[in-house]
Amino acid sequence: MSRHLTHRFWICFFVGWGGLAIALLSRSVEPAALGAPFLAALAISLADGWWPVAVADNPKVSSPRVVEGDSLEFSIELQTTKRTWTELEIQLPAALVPLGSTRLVTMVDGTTRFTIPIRADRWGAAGPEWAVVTTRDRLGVSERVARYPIHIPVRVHPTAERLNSLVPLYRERPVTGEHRARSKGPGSELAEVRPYRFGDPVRMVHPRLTARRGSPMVIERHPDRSSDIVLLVDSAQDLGVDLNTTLRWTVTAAMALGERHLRAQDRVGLIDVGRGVRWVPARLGRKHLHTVIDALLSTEVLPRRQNDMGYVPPSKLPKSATIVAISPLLSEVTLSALVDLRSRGHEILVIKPAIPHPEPHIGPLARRIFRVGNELNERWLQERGAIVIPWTNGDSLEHVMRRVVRNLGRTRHPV
Amino acid sequence: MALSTRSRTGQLADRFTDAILRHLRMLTDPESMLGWFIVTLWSVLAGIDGGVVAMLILVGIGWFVHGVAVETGNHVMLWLTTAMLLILIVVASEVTFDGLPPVLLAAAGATALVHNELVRLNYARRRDASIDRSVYHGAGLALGLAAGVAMVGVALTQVLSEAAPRPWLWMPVAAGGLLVVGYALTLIPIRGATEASRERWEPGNRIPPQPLRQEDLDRS
Repeated sequence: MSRHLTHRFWICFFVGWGGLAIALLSRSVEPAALGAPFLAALAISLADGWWPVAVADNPKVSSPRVVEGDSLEFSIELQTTKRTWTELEIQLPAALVPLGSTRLVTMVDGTTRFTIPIRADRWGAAGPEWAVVTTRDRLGVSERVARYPIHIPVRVHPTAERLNSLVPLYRERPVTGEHRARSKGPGSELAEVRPYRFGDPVRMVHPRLTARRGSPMVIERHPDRSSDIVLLVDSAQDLGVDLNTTLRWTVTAAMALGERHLRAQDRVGLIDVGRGVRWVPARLGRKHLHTVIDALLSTEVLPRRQNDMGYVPPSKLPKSATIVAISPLLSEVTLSALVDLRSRGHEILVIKPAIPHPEPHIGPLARRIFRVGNELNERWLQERGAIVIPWTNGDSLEHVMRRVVRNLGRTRHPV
Repeated sequence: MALSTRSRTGQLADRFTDAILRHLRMLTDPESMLGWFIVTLWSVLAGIDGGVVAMLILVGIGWFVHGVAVETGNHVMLWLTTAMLLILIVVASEVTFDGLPPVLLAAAGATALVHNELVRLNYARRRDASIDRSVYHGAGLALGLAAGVAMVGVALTQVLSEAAPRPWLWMPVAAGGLLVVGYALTLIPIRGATEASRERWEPGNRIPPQPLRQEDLDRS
């Protein structure tokens, strides 16, 4: 909070008393008459009370969760003890675009609620940041400025698609899920039909098949298992314009994958590599899905600092986890984190979003060097046993996942 | 690293168009028109006795100073504009009207105060502020009151001065006023000042986002 006298005060002061002084010295009434309105303004404002107070309180948003492009309303209450000239300014982050003016100048008397319509333009977790309330007395001689922080996060979800495919099981977890295990046992998926062997439990004998074939027959099934998936999000950079950026595609894919695998009873964890490493441990359940999505929405590109952590602590990852990284493979920090995870025995699957076209003024040589560097990174990672699946512009994530399922059997590397 | 796809020429053209539209809006705002009118009126009245050229020069200077004040909203420019208007009023009073009566001079001084308020409102509107009608009513009422009080005060003082034909009657007014302002300038800010009082915030200045609290981190 700060309060001060405005330029108007000094104008009134100098003109008013200057007029009086000249009138006294020159013994004529005219200079005093010219300055009289200024003196009157000072006197009236002082009688009315300087530095009136207005308090901003009870901020609200119409919806704490919206999808990109949705509109919402932000409202805040202003309280004054008397009729006061008030200027209210709301500061919004770049992701939220005001549909009207964010600066309102009005006379407030008592308690008044002001509403500002907003459109959520870009995904993320950021609400209105500050309400700045400036109050002046009626003649604008004194001014009080108060800044009120607003602690209301608005979570803007990117438009995500619903996935059907799952990342194929690499190391199963002995808990029922949606993945078909390679082993045989109690389950729903048919594995084979074979003659009864000595040692098989008698209840495994299939009565109809046995009656049809004339000898005891047994049906073998694949058990349904779950797995551990850890999503690795590369927030070291965000290339592109508007909504076509690498980080947006990364977050969109991670959200869809997280939601699908949690629906399939898999444990899902999250690693965000950018400014240091932050992680959400692998867990199950709907509540955990909200945790993962909120963590993804709060992803942003921040400059790296010297002592930032560059690796994932081994104790934080399940040993059997498959790492699904979504990264354009440009950051050395991400690459070294992936190689480190691979060397610990995790299967690494990289979905590589397409890098948007650079600006036209960037020369062909610079573009070529950039492309070659990116391809070298990809090859370097593949040589270390990671599987890299490109995600080209215009492809749906479901399409990419089907390619993953189709190719994974061929390309899986032993650790 | 979000890069814009618009070419630099296109961006420049957009900015230029925006600037022109903003200026046009600024010129056609009611408060701006009234401000121009006040400046033009006093420039014409001050220069009319010196011929067309002198009048045009005064109008040109007046428009220039007013334009810069409206464009920048700068406090120094507002000072200069008010000072210029007062000088124009004095010149008009002495040269054109051969000495205006004190009550009319007080009314003329009030127009300078009104002009100052108009520039301030216009500048707020130009920075995309949505100004409620009640603000205009409030400002009009307050300025009208100030002008009225001044005119009545001047008239009363003149009547009293005729009984005792010396301007010494102004002395107690000046002394009382100085006492009040001295009190306001010294005691009130000292009593109410906080550590943040020295930080001046200008409308539109971006405040850095607040740091995350532990609750926010726990929630995510």
